[in-house]
Amino acid sequence: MEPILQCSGLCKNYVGKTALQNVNLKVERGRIVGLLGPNGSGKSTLIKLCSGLLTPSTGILSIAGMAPGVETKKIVSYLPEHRYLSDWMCAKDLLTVFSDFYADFDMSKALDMLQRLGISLSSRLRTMSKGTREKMQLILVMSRNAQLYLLDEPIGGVDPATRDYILNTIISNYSENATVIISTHLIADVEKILDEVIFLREGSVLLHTPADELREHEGKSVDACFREVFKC
Amino acid sequence: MLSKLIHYDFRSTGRAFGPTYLVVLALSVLYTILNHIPHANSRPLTALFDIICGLYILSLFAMFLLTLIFCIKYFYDNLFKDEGYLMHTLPVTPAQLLWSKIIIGGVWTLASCAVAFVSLWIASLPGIRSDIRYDREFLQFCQQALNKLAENPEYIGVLLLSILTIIAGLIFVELLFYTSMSIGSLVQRHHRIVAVLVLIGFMIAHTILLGILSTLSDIQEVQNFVERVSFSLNEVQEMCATLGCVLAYFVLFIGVNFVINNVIMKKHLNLE
Repeated sequence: MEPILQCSGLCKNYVGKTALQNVNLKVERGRIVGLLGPNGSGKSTLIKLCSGLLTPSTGILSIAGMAPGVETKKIVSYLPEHRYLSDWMCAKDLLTVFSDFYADFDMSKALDMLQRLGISLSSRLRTMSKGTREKMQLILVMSRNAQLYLLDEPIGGVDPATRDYILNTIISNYSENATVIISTHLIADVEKILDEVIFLREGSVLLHTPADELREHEGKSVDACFREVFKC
Repeated sequence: MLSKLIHYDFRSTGRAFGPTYLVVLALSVLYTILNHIPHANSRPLTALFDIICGLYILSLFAMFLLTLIFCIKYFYDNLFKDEGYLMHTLPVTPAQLLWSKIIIGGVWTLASCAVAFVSLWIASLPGIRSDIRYDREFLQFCQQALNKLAENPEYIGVLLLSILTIIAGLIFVELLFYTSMSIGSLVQRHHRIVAVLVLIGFMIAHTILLGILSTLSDIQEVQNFVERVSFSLNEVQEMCATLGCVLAYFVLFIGVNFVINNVIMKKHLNLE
């Protein structure tokens, strides 16, 4: 089977700024990958390129062997780092939109998660608290039986209890063959669930290694390695 | 997928248009009711009637202005701001996103025209005030137009072509705004200012282009050619030919604008 994500010489330039330069990556299926780096290191840019929201300046990017487009959007489930759903919609409307557009959306899974969280189908997004909104967005994204989940800062700005809920939801809702890429700088919180880590610095891949190997080799946690590598 | 997008866009936009239409229709009903109450000797009633009359006319203008502003704002917010993160990750093509926006923009504009027509019809129901004449004139105008069409069925083609040209004109204007905003989204800062400047640029370009076309029509050889063609045409055919030229101009630039928007969303999307 082809790797779920492959980048070769990938670059993304904005006017007067290089966001990604010469990124070469191969991510296999069935992995939970931490995309780690300080602010402005290119994590969100890489995720947006993978989800088709940006186009590469140069280089090749393929998702399951295909260039980003309509076909890859059918198998990629993306969670942006900020609010992206219409405020006026209620939970039921959002479920309908996702089930209308995504063939892999599992309505029963979504309903089950909503029920366990006590979110009413009639509650509108604008009336939900920040944490509940984050959970709602995550429920929608993780209720898809996607092949690649791209989660951009899923635990940023929420309380520790919500963080635990989000991480548990991620672990318990992706299939064995699916890959989850989590971008974050809150490494201590996600470290326990990661199979692989990718360190990004100033748009370049500094390190791509299995998390256990890094811990064994360096004799410390991923969080400690990160702090050492990115020390100011 | 296009039908699902259209359904979603209608649901999103309907929340704004529904209340607007209700206000316009309610004011026209209120106007008609007051027009049926004898109030020649009641100053408060006369004042109320005048206020409602003014509000109703204002609401008609406001409805068309809101239709334009809301369609443009919806296009920008839905595709180039936060909601764009959902829209551009749906398994649909940029062309489908664009078609959906064009269709809902066109339908709401036509719906606004229909609401204006219905409200004018309600307001034109014969009332008591003899000094307000325009209401009856509106009904008379409609009646005369229908009679003329019944007498001269060949004008039905002209009417249909006129409607088609108006719709194409609306889509052309709509796309002009959309293209300006798409181009504005390409820059990293001051998207709106750039979009306004691009729009002004487009307007100047179209004015120059129409000026060139009109200068060309003044050239003797062109005039001779037009006269030769016109000579062989009757009045209806001549009207159809003129409308056809206007329609062709709109269709050409609808195509150009569609391609520009599609390329920007497909190759240069810049959601930050």
